Amino acid sequence: MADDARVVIDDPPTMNLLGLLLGSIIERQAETEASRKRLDKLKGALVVEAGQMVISMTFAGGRVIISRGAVDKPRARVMGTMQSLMGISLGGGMVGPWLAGHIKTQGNLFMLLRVLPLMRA
Amino acid sequence: MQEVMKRFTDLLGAERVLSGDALEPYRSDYTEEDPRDPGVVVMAKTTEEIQAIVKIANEDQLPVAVRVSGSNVGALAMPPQGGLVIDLSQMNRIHDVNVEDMYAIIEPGVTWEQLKAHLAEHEIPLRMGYPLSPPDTSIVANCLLDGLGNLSMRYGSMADWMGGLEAVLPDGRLLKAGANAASDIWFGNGPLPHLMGLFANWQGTTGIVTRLAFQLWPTPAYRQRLFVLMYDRNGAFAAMKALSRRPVCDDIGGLSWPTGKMLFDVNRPTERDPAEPEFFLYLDLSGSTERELQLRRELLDELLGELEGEGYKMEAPMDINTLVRLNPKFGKFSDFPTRLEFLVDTPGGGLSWVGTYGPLSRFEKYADVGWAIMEKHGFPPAVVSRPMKGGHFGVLRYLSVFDKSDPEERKKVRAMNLELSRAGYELGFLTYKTPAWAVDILTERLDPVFQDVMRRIRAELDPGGIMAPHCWAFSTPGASRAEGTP
Repeated sequence: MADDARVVIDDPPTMNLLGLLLGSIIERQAETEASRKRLDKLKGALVVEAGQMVISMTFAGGRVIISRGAVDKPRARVMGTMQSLMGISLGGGMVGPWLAGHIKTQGNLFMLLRVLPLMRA
Repeated sequence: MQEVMKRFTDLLGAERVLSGDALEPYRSDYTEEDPRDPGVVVMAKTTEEIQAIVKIANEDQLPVAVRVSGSNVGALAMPPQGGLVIDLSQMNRIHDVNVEDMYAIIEPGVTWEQLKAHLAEHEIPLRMGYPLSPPDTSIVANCLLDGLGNLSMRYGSMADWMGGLEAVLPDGRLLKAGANAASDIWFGNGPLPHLMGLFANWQGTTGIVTRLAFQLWPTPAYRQRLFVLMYDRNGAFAAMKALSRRPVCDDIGGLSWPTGKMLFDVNRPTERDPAEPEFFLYLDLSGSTERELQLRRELLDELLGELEGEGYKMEAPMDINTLVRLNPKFGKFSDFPTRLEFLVDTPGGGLSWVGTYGPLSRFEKYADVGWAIMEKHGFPPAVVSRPMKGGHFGVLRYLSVFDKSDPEERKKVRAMNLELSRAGYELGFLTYKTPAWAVDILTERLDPVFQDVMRRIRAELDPGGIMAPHCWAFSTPGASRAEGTP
């Protein structure tokens, strides 16, 4: 892992598919100046649950550390099926799936909205 | 050796007779096998040259191995120690594509990417099935070693795709086998004794095939490749069984969770999150009309729904193009032939497998046993599987990626492969592209009359015993080489 890596996967050999997939998406996003600026401003942890897979994305100092499972006291949490979360990554809106109950959120919605653009493939 | 080198040089010219440092690439392959030194390598370009080379080898009692890209993972393309390697990579002409009767007559050096490009360039509406081996590997070798491709679920393993052949026998004569022995159209075996079978799976011990009619299939106008994430491998096997019996898919392939992670550059995944999918199915659907494709998709959804009803958990099918948008690395699976760098270009450079054909009815059992063996030896259970020929049998392959420079790793891979093969044999799964060490343990259970007939055929065709003596070398019962030596 390079010292200046923007995305760090905590223990890759044990990371689940959700973490690897989101990590690769954010890594590509971080190639743009706008996304790097967004990363610089983010702080705190977001927990993502897709199906039964759970990962945490902890933002600090312009980078994100992706770890398996849920960290204590995340700032926000988003839960849904793998398909609905991938739909968002592919550019679909969040409101429709949220209203339909395919996606649930908890915690600081503003933080979640700031992270979402980084999760777009 | 000097004298024989001179004879080869007189025949082929110095530039096509290799010795010294030029032999280095021929000493080893991907596998855990210890390197072996060839005595000489010759590059053949024509059938007549091969006839002459074989005659010289016979006169000088030189053991012969044939090689194209050297990517076989059973160490079959490695030379017998001090022997002659005939490199056929320059013998790569496509002689004819018979569009109406759907075959191409090709030489052994013709590669998957080469024939694909040829069909595209000439706008020929025929297709072939591709293996997961790299694009620059030999079609003929895969047919003769009875490999498989992504149309094998429909049309069987690749030895079934041979529409006729010509082969140089160990005495230098040229044999025609298949309908082409009497017909100008190479339309299959025809109503003749199956002499093509003298070369399929014989691993070069009976002769050298110089031309082969490779059967092609109509290209459908509409195609779709889908991925389904299955949370339980037995669900994946249930889907394979059910789908292979219905006219839904051209292909159903299955990859276990470690292979999925290797795609994300995790060289050796060590642990599966119990909450994540255990198996990935890739499904090819096609139709000659849009409606036909749509109907097949509806049938697929219906069947997957039935499996969900039985309690198997899965995600909805995702189009490969969707996955490529999520991560361009999935593009490795969008178009075949493909080079899977995460298998063949790893830092340690080692790739080995136990590849077996066996009954679908026992997939679950062999997967249970094989999974446990791989984990016991410290390797992730990287498995590739597929139902074959409409579900009459299937393939289960256990793959290991390792550091070739580490003797301990190689030792571990050997021990694991032996155990996997033995476990497979117990359950009726037979290794294909059978490596020498697997022949050793197969000998213990292979019908003795079968072995005797094989020996007699071989002795009849190759009385000098020069052809690939390292292949199909049955050991004396009770004196297996495999256990003790590398």
